[in-house]
Amino acid sequence: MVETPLDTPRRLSTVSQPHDLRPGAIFMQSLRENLTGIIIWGMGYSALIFAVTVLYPVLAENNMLVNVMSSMGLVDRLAENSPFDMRDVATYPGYVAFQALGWAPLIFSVYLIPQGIRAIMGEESRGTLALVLSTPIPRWQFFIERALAVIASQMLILLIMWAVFFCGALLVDGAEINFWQTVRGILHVLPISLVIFTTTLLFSVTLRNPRNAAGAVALLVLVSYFVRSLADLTDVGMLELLHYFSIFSYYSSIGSMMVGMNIATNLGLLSISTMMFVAALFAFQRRDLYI
Amino acid sequence: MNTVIDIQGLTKQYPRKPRPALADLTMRVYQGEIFGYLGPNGAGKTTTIRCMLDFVRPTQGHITIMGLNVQANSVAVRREVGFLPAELALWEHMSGYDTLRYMADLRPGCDLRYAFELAERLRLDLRQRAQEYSTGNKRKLGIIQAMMHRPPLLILDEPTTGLDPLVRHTFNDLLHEARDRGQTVFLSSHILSEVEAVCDRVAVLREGTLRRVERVDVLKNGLTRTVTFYSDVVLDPVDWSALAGVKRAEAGPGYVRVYVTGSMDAVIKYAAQFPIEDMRVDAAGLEQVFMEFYNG
Repeated sequence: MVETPLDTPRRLSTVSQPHDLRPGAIFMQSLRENLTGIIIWGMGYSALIFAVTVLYPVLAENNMLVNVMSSMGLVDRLAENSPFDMRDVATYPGYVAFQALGWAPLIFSVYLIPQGIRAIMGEESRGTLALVLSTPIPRWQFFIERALAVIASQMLILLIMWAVFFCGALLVDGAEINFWQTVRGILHVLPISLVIFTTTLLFSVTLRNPRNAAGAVALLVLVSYFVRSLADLTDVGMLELLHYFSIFSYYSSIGSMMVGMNIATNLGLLSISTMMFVAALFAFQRRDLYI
Repeated sequence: MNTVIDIQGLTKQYPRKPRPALADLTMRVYQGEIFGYLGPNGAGKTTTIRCMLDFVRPTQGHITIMGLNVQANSVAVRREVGFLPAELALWEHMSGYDTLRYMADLRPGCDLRYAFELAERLRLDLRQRAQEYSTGNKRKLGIIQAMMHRPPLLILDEPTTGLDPLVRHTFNDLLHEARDRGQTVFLSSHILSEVEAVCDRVAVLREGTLRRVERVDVLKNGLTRTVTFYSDVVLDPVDWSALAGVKRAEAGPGYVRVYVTGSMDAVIKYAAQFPIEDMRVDAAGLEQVFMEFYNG
């Protein structure tokens, strides 16, 4: 049997053309999938900010917060390691930063870890990745669009939070806060959120088992949080050293609102996120897909 | 004939597995044929398809589709392919229409009108959400998304699972139409009657190694058929056993049954001298081929 090598004239005329990238389809589809989560998380966290805002006049009048913290010896202890006066927590911006935004990275872990797992592993374990990657979409494009959709979702949640924060501040008598303080307070949540998300991405594409990946990242976040919290409260040498490895050491909601954003730490967090992202992309690009 | 799929020495060893999923697989699929890919569970059919789409990378060997190495030109290759996975998963919250729109967005130059035409022929309501579809309807949607851009190569993994006989018939028509247009179909299936009905050639895979690649009619001709003659006279099986092509014969009250391989000429001519009331031929099917390969 004589075989001609290929139906060359007809087929190669099309396949040799540059690939028509269709950027945005996966991103938009993923964003639509996340819409309910964006609304629930945006409204939920905004409700917390609003509640804290409404309570502020009562607490400020009685100086309750500072009294409680002073009685526990917390003000002096925390002030030792802070670039600002811890009595700032008695002011409106400091109070909101402490009560509402101080927990943001920890609370957002509950949102970002499942999102990070779902972004790539979810499609793979569900099997829908087989359909998407049977189309002329490069793996890297799929990965980037899915990841960007989660980042955009997080930014939209923060936008909703900021809008409620800013509008709520206008309603409070004596709330001495300016536009940029609200922006800084909310924006400072983003770099540490990106670290948590990209770490989840890396674990999910390398460990492959969604439960193991989620568990590992959750453990890392919790250990990181407790190391930082204990290091703030004790003089144990080991903790002093370890707290430099905690991402929470580079997050200060009060500092960002009262003093300003620390560019170096934020850039550091963004650099870590970028490295995690590139490593996850590289791992996803090279590994076998079981779909 | 133009080679569409060229697999050379394909070996895939998964980590921590005692034996390779595929071992030195070599075969070719030509343009315009419907090629059946047979094998029991775990034989390596899905791994072959995964390698063809660059989902997994071979340990050794390579695959060329339309002259392009699938690893080096993964995107260009997938542009020419329509794929239906065996375990089809859909976006449950999306309607059939939205799913096709989404898939069309990922495939430049896709004609949705043809997709709607296919939906009409397969009797699929595209307004329903995927979660409301039955298994068969999900399968139909999978078939449509694989075929809607009229790809030169269709890779279909267990395409008719869950389809009713009427839709299977329509599906077979679609495959024949695709072949008539010059499209190539690579069809992996467990339903042997279906493979027998639509495929031109089949490959039989066992434990990662290729046992045979052959035309369906050639495979069947090499098999033993059972011919039973019913007559009022006593037919001696010993005489029948001596005929050319007869492997053995047995007799009962009013009948003789002969097992024939290859041509039936000698048997028919010999039978002509007796008063035969009736005759029944049990043709060998792919199932027998399949069983012979796996038991033998």
